[in-house]
Amino acid sequence: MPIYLEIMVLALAAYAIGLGLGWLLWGHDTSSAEGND
Amino acid sequence: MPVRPTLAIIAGALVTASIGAAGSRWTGDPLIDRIEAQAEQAIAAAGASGVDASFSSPNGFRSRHPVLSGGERLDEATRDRVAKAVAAVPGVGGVRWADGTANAESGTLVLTPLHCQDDVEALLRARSIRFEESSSKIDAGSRELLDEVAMALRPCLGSIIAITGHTDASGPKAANLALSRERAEAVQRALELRGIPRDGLRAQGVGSNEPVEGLAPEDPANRRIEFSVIATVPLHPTPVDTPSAR
Repeated sequence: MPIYLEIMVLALAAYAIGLGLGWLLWGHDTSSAEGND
Repeated sequence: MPVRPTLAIIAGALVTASIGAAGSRWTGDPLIDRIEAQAEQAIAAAGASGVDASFSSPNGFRSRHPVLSGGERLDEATRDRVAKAVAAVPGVGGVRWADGTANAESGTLVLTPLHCQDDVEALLRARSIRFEESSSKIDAGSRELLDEVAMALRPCLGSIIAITGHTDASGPKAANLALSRERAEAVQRALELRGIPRDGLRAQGVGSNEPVEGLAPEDPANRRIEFSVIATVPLHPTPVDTPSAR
């Protein structure tokens, strides 16, 4: 596998992990509509 | 203007991929230059002149996976050493020879005895297969032990089981050798009767040549039968099987 592809795959994996972590930590609303009032 | 999240994620991925591809010029190329120089040194240190490590993929892109060429005249041991030396350079991925497909990093196949050898050894540690004095007739009391040995060998069916007979050093050497072989063959026959196929059994006798470590050669405790499980044995063709010259 060419080195540029390896780096691209690594960068995309890091991006995906960042997205997932961001969603878990800040974008994921754990409270339900009924229980929040 | 609100941006749809899916579009934002895809745009982000594209930007990340572009940065990765563009960034490989600044990070990837110097890495390849460095490992290429180190690989050259490793090849020279391994004593193989004329071997070239090409760090390019078939499409011409630079890669961490070198293809070695120019080693057609080298013997297998040197090729193995060169490939391992290149594979040991930090940063190098899989190494292969241009004229062979085997991955060098896999190294030689290590044969590990199957666990049934441990089971048999455990059985024979406490008790031993006994024979009648100066005879290859198995003592009646050892039949039960042989049943257990046959049961323990069953998981290893399909592999080669070597049965080695040993004697102590008392008596003439030639007679001991013959007796140890006869006893190993008697055990082989007994195991065949218990359902272990003949094909997988190899009986041999070594007389008193290999005493137990730490015991005097004359010690009667050297009289024993040992089992070893060989996962594979190379087959040597007999003259009848040998193909004719090309």
